[in-house]
Amino acid sequence: MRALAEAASAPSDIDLTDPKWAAAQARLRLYLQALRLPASEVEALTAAALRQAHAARPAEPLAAAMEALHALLAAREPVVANAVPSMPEMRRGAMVPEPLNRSPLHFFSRELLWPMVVGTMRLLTGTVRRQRLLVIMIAIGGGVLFQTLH
Amino acid sequence: MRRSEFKHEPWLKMAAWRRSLFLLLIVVPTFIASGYMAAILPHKGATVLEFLIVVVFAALFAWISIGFWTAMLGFYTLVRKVDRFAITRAREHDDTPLGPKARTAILIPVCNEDVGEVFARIRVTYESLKETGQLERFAFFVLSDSGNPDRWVEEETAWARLREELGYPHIYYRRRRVNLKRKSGNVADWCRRFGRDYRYMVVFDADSIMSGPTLVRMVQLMERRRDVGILQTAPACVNRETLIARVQQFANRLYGPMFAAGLHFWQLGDAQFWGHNAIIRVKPFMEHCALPRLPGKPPLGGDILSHDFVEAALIRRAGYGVWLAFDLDGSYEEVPPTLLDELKRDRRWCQGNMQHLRLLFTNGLFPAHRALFLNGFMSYASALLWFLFLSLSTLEALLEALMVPEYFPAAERSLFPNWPVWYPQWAVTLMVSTAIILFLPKVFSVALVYLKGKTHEFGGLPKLICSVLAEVVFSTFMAPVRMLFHSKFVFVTLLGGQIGWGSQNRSDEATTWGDALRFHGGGSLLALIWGAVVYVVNPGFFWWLSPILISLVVAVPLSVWSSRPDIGRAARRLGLFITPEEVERPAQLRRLDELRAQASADSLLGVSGFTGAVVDPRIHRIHLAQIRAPRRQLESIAQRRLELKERALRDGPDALSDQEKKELLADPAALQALHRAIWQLPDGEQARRWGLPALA
Repeated sequence: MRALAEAASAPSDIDLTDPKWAAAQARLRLYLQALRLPASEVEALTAAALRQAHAARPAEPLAAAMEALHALLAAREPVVANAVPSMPEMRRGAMVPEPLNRSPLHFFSRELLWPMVVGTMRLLTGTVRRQRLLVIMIAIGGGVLFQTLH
Repeated sequence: MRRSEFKHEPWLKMAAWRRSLFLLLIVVPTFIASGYMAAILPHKGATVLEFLIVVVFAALFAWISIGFWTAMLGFYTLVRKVDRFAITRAREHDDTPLGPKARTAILIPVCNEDVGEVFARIRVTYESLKETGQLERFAFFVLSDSGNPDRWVEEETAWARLREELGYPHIYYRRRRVNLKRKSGNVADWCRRFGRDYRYMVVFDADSIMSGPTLVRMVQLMERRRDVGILQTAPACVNRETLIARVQQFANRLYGPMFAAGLHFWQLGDAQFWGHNAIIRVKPFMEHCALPRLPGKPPLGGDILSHDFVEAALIRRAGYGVWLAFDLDGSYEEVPPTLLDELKRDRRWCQGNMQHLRLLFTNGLFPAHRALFLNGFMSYASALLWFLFLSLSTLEALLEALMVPEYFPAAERSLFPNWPVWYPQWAVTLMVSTAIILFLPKVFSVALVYLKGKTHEFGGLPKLICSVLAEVVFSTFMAPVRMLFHSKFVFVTLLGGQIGWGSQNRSDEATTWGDALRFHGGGSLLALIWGAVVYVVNPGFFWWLSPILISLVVAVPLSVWSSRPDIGRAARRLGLFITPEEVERPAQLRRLDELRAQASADSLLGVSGFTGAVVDPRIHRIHLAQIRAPRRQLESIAQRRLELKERALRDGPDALSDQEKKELLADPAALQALHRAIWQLPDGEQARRWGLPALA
């Protein structure tokens, strides 16, 4: 920053009436303004970049000045707030699909018939109330069957 | 933690009783109505054709009965005011701070959405949460699957800006390079990377908004009820201005609460997850809800598209409840603005729901979730059944008119004639009963609003009644159009036709006449031919079909006019389809309106998207911070990128395809080289192509 402050003074030895150097200065300013830097910093960095570029006596002042500016900006990162990785640190965890048994046969045998068998067994071996319920259900079923057949 | 831990929850027994009652209320009237239907037909259902008609009718009647009884039970629940199993009773609202372990991530999966809108909504939710004083327990994650290079960069820029303006570090953004399994894959990806740090996640849609107090309350409820895996809110539909969307919003706000309460009544802890505006317990979700690929090719195989129902079934299989917080306010979403947008969305949902049939027999699922899979499938298959019913009825009517009846069939040897009889008055009775089932819930909704003294929220009682009548007419016209499209979707999906999964249109853009003609023209022509044939052969039956045929014939203007925001606004001026959010705008929606008005550009150079990331130094740096340099790069790839960079520099951004733009955006070295080269361009055409202003 100290170097930058020293370089901030107007580059008096550069002929800014030369269209090439004037274009370089305008482009530098535009770049720095697009970065939304404060006006004072825009001027200081422009002057510093021009000075550095001029020292090399380039044929293309614009390219040289932009290169110089990139070098200056690289030394003062971060230039832009929030130009940082956008995610927190990872904490890996597993999320693996469980195998799905989609077999209808399995469903009918294990999840439909088997619970019905178990339920019936419970009714048969259960309390008196349950047994009565079973008798009632059998009677209703028998009635419906009888009615259907006749 | 498997099924056993929560298997003695008290709601389980009540659910069995309520579902038995519900089933009885559907099955018995369906049997009676089907018998009635058979009696109406000329041959009393004795021919194959008539038997098919009766079977299809029974399926359709059962289907509409589900809606009717759900609404009636919802009415009962809301009139009683107290449901001891309502999930919100687990804890009254209070200001107790959330514990440090109740960390909650708000996930906002996006895919080529309107960036400004998405981030404005996040901001609204953030500000509302901040007001609760419990913000520090929440983090926001924007999870992007955007394939459009401009959207990609705009999202990054909007994220950086929001974070800078709010000064809150826990707003994150991530874009996936590979969009495996779409939204569900995006959420699963987040779970694998960051899920261990959070106890809960609230999944948003791109158009979701939730109020801070609601979010806090949901976390409190989850903290209190450890058996709950997913807590779903019933979002209110808001913000749209087109006619069809305003009608949908009105229907959602008037009838929605009753239906939601009814769903709660019989589903209890086996509720649906709608994929958004819901809170999820992360650990069991990670352990049990990873979705496998279905064997076979799409549309019925491959990735599971409608993941939400399946995730609900899987988390329930693991023993956790899925509850619908039907009485929780402060949850909002938006509906598609036009009929065509709605149908595009329905096509995706249709394919997803049809895939669920393949999961129907999955081991360990609870019967209620199998029923919900079937219910989801029927949402679209019912359209095909309706179409089939109309076709079979037409065929029957044509045959009756064209064929000479055989009064004494040789096979029967009877003294009495086999006399085909048609009783129109019975048909009218059946039609009226069906109409009652369809429309009575609407009457009860009005009664409920009146009883609760909330008619002013809908513009007052007279306007409310007029709106309901207009909505009935509107939905009667729309139903056949939707039926035809849904039938086509089911049919095409069964034949193996696939669909794209693009982003939704969420802006009020009216449908053009050309688009409407392209989409509805075929249906209108079919209706004209259908009507003409029936009118010529059996004019009596024509009048029975006419309401459906007329709707199809006028589908084109209906689709265009219903998509126009000016007609929607005119209806509003007339006091039609007013919703509570239009009468008194909630603070969050008011704030959203303000933010929309304040939208400003991110670049001082006036460039955005891909061009912004290449040219604007600020956007360029933000973008570079988000991408990783490839660990290794093949010589051939490096050479191709170099050529691409040279071509881009020479011809400007418009000369590049989206794929080429993405390639450059993903390569930091190539992007930096292009950025520097552009800024070194002399004043002239090339520089102007990249948006650099002329140097004075």
